[in-house]
Amino acid sequence: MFAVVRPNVPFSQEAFSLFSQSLGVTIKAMTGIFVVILVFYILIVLLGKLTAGK
Amino acid sequence: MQELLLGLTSFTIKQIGMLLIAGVLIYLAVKKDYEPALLLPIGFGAILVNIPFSAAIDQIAANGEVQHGPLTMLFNAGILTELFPLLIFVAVGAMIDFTPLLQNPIMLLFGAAAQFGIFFTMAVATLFGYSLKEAASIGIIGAADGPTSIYVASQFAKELLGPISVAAYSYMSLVPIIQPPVIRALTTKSERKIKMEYKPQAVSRTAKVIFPIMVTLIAGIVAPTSVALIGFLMFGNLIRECGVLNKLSNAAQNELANLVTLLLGITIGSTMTADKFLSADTLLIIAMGLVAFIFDTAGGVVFAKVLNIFLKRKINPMIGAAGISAFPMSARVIHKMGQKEDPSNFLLMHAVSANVAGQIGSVIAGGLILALVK
Repeated sequence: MFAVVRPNVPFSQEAFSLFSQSLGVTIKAMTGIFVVILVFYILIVLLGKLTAGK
Repeated sequence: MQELLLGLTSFTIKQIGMLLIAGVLIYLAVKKDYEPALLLPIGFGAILVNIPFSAAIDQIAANGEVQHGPLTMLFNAGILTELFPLLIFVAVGAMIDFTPLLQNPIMLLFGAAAQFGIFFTMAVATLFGYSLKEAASIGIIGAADGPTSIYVASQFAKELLGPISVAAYSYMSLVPIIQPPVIRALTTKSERKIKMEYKPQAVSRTAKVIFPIMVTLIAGIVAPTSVALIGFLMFGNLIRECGVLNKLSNAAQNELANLVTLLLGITIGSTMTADKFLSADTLLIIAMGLVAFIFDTAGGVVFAKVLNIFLKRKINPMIGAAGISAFPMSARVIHKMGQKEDPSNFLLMHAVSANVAGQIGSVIAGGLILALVK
């Protein structure tokens, strides 16, 4: 159905270039996850207070 | 007679190898009870597609005409369109009770920390020559969440769906074997003995109804590409919590879950043809999946230890490991480990809260990967 093709030679210059890109994605994504989760946390606490007993 | 023997004489060594692998998957499902609902259909699907000239998948006839097979049709209709994993999300959402998390929202942080393995593995995979999208699909095995792995892989690396799915579901069932040594390596005995007070707070029905809508809106605004992923999960949960759609909730938890799981498994199995599956890439992907699970666990535990530096009431760092999405297996593992150190230590409810947070964390991680990896 599909062929597996690794576009880069392992540990080549291109691979290291993608590695540095992936570190950028990692920092952005982990920051994003924590920010979203912190927003959820604040909203859950607020939600708990606003809807207590309702 | 020659025509009847054509199937037998056309078998390749690789196809026989795949039949053995399919047998192992079915054995693990039946005898070891490792994720049987998925591994058995995947194993049988692998048998169906590795019989020479199998009519279960598309074949090109001598005249060049394509003879359509039902499994290829199911793959095109259910996986390429991402429909099957999304329908599974509705079912999973209807099964999840977020109450422990709403009672103990601080545990949400572990649902974020324990996604670290996904990104660590993604970075490692790029070093092995994979493109960023393929690497992200491999890393997402660490979401410990089958549908998210399949959803991301079906968008980014369809050619890797077979090994990614097999790795994701196999490791999810192996959580009781993978997590304890990692946790023990990163914690001291006294840390594992830390007791945590549990004060459950009442959660109103209104909060339970608003929660899935709120999560969908926020996650959707931050990463619009995650709307389908988190939206279907939360839709299932809203059906469960609204209190007026019990029949639909039951149907989602049972009929929908069972039917789609069955079709999803056998369709994933259909990607495991010998020429694609038996390769160094498959072994590498399966090995990197293990790395992802190990670093997820480590991420959660280390984060809890860092939090403890600032907290007066210490958190048992093992709870951090429950921030992976493998529910409820991971929570049970942590509770058992706690009891082993100190039989009077009950960590179950804290671990369940972190584990439910992991389910949200893994879906958000999947959504952010879809948004950030170009």
